[in-house]
Amino acid sequence: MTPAPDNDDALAAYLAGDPAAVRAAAPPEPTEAEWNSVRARAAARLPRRGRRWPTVAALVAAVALVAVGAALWPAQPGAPESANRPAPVPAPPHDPLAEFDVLPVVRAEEVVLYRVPGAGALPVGAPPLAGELVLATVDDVEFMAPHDLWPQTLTGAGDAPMLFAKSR
Amino acid sequence: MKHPAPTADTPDAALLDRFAAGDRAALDELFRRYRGVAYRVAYRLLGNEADALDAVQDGFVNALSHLDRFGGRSSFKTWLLRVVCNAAHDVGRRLKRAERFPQAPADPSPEHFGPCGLPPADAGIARAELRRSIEAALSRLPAAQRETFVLHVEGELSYREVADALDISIGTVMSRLFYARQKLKELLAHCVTP
Repeated sequence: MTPAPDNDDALAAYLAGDPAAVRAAAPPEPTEAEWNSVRARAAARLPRRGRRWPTVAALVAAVALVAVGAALWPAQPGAPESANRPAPVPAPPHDPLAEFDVLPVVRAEEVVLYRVPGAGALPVGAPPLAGELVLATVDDVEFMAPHDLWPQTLTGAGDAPMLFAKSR
Repeated sequence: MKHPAPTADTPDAALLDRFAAGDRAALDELFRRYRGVAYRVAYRLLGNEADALDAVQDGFVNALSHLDRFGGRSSFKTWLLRVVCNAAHDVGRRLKRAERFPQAPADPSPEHFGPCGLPPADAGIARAELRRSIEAALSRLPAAQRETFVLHVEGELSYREVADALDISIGTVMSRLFYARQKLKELLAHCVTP
């Protein structure tokens, strides 16, 4: 059997990300009715926004009332001074992941814990490896030639295409 | 305050502000703007229309419910596609648990497949057949390579955007794309061009 050149071209163009080839191989498009259904269901699941001022106003009023009440309440005579002093607010625990986005992977109700290994201590959220795992250093890597599939590979100094080493 | 109807020229950031203020027309415009690309990405990860539409729905809901995590650090499209990918994985896991997740192309009868399990070659291969070949080949890629390839090719994200979406380095994106293309070329060469 002879190759099908048109298809080969189309596939090569698709693999290269050519927009026309990608469009030509696009999956079947849903109907407008299906889109409307998806949009309506998504909209129904989204929380209503922009109409929270009555709740906020009620909260502000409640806080103000408590503050006024606390200011006007007479101090107990003879009570130790420390009794009137507000309790120190504990510092929030350090969150090492605070600067990272966290996407929900599963909900709590979707997780079933069957067994806790070892003596029963469960390390939740502990990183599996402390520090960096060095796979290769710059000296370990030799770049021979770019592959045909990747014609835009640059071979000039400083253009290491696939492996990056942290500068020290 | 009543906003004028958003148009195709309204920037994403303005639409998101309006959505946050309760303007449902902004949601409609965001949905219209990105539903197609979100669907193509989800379809390529899941392999069928109904599941892809579920992932698109979940993706829009999750992306717009957690805009505080988005924070404008990337484009909205990048953020949405990242969340759609996660939603597609969730849908896939649910289907797998229900033991009906399609690991093979839509038509599993053996006579429709060549020696490597993909649709057989045909000189006059039709567009639909080309599509099925690509779907079948994509389904055989390792998950990380498939996701990276799909985000770049179907999601039309740049290397930088794919790296942001998957929280990996650009080097890893390039490496995954290289191996994904190599593997796809191999699969498609054996099965489409005899």
